[in-house]
Amino acid sequence: MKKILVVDDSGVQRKMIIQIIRKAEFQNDILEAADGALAIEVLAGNFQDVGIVLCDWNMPNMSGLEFIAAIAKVPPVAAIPVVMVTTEGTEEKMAEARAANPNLVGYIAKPFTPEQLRDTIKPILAKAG
Amino acid sequence: MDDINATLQTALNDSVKEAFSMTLSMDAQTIEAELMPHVQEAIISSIGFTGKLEGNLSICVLNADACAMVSNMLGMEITEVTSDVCDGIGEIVNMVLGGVKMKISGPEMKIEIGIPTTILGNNMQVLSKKDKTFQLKYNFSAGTAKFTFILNYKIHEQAPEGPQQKSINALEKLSSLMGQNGSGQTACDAKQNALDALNKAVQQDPSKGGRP
Repeated sequence: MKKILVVDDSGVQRKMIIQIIRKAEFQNDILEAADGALAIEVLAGNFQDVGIVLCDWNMPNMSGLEFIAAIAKVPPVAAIPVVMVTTEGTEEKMAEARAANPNLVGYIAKPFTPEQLRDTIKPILAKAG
Repeated sequence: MDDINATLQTALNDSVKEAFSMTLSMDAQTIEAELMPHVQEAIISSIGFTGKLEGNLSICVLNADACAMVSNMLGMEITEVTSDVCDGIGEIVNMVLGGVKMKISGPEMKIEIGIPTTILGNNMQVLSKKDKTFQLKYNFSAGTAKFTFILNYKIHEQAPEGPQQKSINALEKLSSLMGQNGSGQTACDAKQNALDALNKAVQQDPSKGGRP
């Protein structure tokens, strides 16, 4: 079963996302990272096992946009589906994220409901196996 | 000016209510009473923004009420101010400002949001009103918790052109200049090192035909 990588500089936000995933009864292992650079380090050791990346935008050191743009240039990693989970919910920002990573498959604007997150990741995880 | 002020008032109030409803499962309502105490322990979390509008949004909340709010976020009882409480209050102000941005953004109104800074202390006030700076201040209640949102802003006649190079937050700028990422290396070094490690790991992946 593929793992879920949650990238957010807010530990509370990561906990909330993980709670939603667990309450929705997804059994996938979950990896965490507090910024884009740390997420790349996590992927370096786990990229074959990660089936989805849930990524914040505004983070210190390396933003979510920089991170998804960087992994889009590394062929095997570029295939991992990405979902942005961010306060940057304008159409302009969504277009910017899509341009940065063609494998952006979902976009969730904060604040969001548990149902929004569950319904977004369910088909992606089902496909990832 | 009156149009922008009225738009911001509505956007701020609606965004607070949405964030509390969706993330904390709490019904937030504006109240008239003056809340910000000057003698009790409180948390202030502030986040800056630049663009056509420049300023900051702050939340001021007593420690006990902050604990109650983050307890709702995490679905567990928290009775003391921990790093999670500070983080959670920062995330609330981040979500509220994100909501305001979504509601006011358009071709003529673009803003960029920074990263929250949270301060714990006594006898604190948000006092950033200067010439040509406007302030919106609203008190809210949600459950037993009471809190204040303060939006300070000024209007630029022309939004800065090109990519935002200006630092949104003085602390971020200082951190960047000092390369404070815990190891003495700059953030740029850290990004490159992480990318190098990822590329190396991919090249060594036997399933990709790379060299071990």
